Amino acid sequence: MPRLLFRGLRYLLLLVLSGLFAVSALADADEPPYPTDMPLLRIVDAAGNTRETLTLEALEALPGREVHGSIPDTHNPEASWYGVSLARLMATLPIPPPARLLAVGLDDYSDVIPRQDLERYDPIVAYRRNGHYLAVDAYGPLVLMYPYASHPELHERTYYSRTVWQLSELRLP
Amino acid sequence: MSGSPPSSAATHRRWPIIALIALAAALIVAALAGLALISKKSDEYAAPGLHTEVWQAYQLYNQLQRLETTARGVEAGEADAARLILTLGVMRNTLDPFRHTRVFDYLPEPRPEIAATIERLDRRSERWMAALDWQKEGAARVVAQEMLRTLPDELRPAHDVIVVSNIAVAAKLDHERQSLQRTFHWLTGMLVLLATGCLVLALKILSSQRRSRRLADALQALNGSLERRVQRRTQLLHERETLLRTILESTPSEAALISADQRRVFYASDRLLACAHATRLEDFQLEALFVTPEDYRQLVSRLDAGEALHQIEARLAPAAPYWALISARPLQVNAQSAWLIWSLDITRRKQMEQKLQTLASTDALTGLCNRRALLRATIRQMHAKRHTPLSLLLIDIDHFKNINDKWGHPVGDQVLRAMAERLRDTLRDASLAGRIGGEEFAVVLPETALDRAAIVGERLRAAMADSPIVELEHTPLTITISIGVTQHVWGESLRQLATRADRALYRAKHEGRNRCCIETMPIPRNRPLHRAAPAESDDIASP
Repeated sequence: MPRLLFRGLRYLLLLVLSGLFAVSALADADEPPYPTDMPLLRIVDAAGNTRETLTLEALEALPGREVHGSIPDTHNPEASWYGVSLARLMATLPIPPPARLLAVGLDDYSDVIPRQDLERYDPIVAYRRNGHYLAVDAYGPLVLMYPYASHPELHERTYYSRTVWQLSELRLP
Repeated sequence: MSGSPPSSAATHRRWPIIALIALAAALIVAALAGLALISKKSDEYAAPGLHTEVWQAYQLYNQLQRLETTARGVEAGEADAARLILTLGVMRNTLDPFRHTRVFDYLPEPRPEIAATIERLDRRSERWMAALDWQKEGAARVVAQEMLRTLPDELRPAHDVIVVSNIAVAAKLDHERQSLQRTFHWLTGMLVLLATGCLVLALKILSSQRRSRRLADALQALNGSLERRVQRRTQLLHERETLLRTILESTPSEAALISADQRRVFYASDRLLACAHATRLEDFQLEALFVTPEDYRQLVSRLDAGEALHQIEARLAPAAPYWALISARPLQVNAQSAWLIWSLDITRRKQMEQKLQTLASTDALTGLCNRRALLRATIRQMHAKRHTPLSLLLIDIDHFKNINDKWGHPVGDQVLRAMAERLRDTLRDASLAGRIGGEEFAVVLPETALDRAAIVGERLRAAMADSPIVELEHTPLTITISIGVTQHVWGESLRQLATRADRALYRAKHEGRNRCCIETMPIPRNRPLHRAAPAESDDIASP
């Protein structure tokens, strides 16, 4: 009888502990490792004027999309990425979709994204990986991610180069 | 001398096949190995290679300089904590690829200081990041001061990272080039092997084809020669058959070859077919050939007994009978019992025989039996009907010499012929009437007793005497005859009978001619049966 009681208590303890872990994980997931009002992405026109500045809240206000893949050249395993479709983002602008735009990272890396990519592959500006926000020293806070898992033909140097991590700026032509 | 020749020849024939099979197996193995290699290489090159380390090293160096600049700005109050955190984050992020890359394994000589540099930078930057807060500017300044103390010394090792990365990437690229070159060498060897194998197989196929064509030609030639021989042989057989048939059809005799069960007719000459009333061989029936069924039955029974028959006379062709000489013998045709039957038409021979018979038994002048034939016939009668009476009449023309003398022999012959004619007319059966001497005749009367014979004799005498025998230049010539009659007695010889008849005739002559005297013997019971005989008959009556 006491043995049975002991076992029941043990189960209860386990349940409480696991519940606590779950809550803390949820708190981590919901808390970005940077201020939510911090400007994350600037849209700059050809003249160098900032047309728009987007914070995490602004991005999350837009409809989201999920793709699967991994960041090239980093040995990171494949993950699910969640963010705003780049095409959808461009559609919010009061200008017609440009033929090409330049994606620039915090480290000043940049590559040209042609409009065909937006139509054909619909890459996203991801802010979550496997449900978690991205820290700046872990390729975040934003990554321009292509849907590698659903389009194997993307495994080319061209698209690897267009996958810009630490995305901070979109320059219009 | 050395080993058994057949087995060594067999081995000699077999080894090229074994070699070919081995070659084919080697080719298959080589092809499979090549496929495996290609598949492996293909997998290796499925995704773009990682050769970005030089750029990442440059970025590390670049971001360290930037961090230093930002730290200086923070110390001067120109940049805030958030700015420092972001710059530090970017710098830390450039360290990440170096924590995982294997590119330094390709270095010809190991450079452990690179890993140490990365490790040191990571440790320090981690400590700085932990100390910073987005809102705490004071803490940022403290960290910035430490950065400014440390970072200038880190620029040289970071530069070394660039240099070593460049060497490592170059070495990796060369390693990949060598690996590719080895693969190409390997594939070249494989292709050469495959090409050689294909060449050998092609040559083998070519030689096999040539050999099979040669064999086919030889076979065809052989076939042709065989066909010619068969043809020649067939022709020869045909010629022999034709010759045999010609010989058969040219012989005066007819032939038939039929199976012993009479179901199959191998051969039958045309005449025999016609005789059996058949038009085709299949319709030929042996039985239908014979006029007399008995002849057929005798032939079959003797042949069935395995006997050969030689020259049996039989009448053939019921529709138009003729005499034939039949020879037959059993024999084997294609392991089957058969009968060979020959037939020779002897109609002419029979006719000749008949004629000779007639000539031998007939008196040429009168057409009656001659002496010999009559004697024979009489003996035959005596033997055949020995219990019935038989009488003999001996007849002689009276004074026949005078006729010859007076009128000449032709008239004598004419008289003799007329006499025979009158005998035939008077007698019921003239078959046993004959001329036995110059003007002497005899008549045998079977189944006739003496008294009856005497009546016949008297009728003959009267028939001669009553009317002229011939007309000579409008002069009728009458003759008379003398007759001696007697009856045969059982056990008596023909000579005895004739002697007694002769005695009766003598008596008739002696008693004055133109009369019929009887002689009864041996019982001495004279019972004259004289009819009144005219006395003038001694001379030839003349009108």
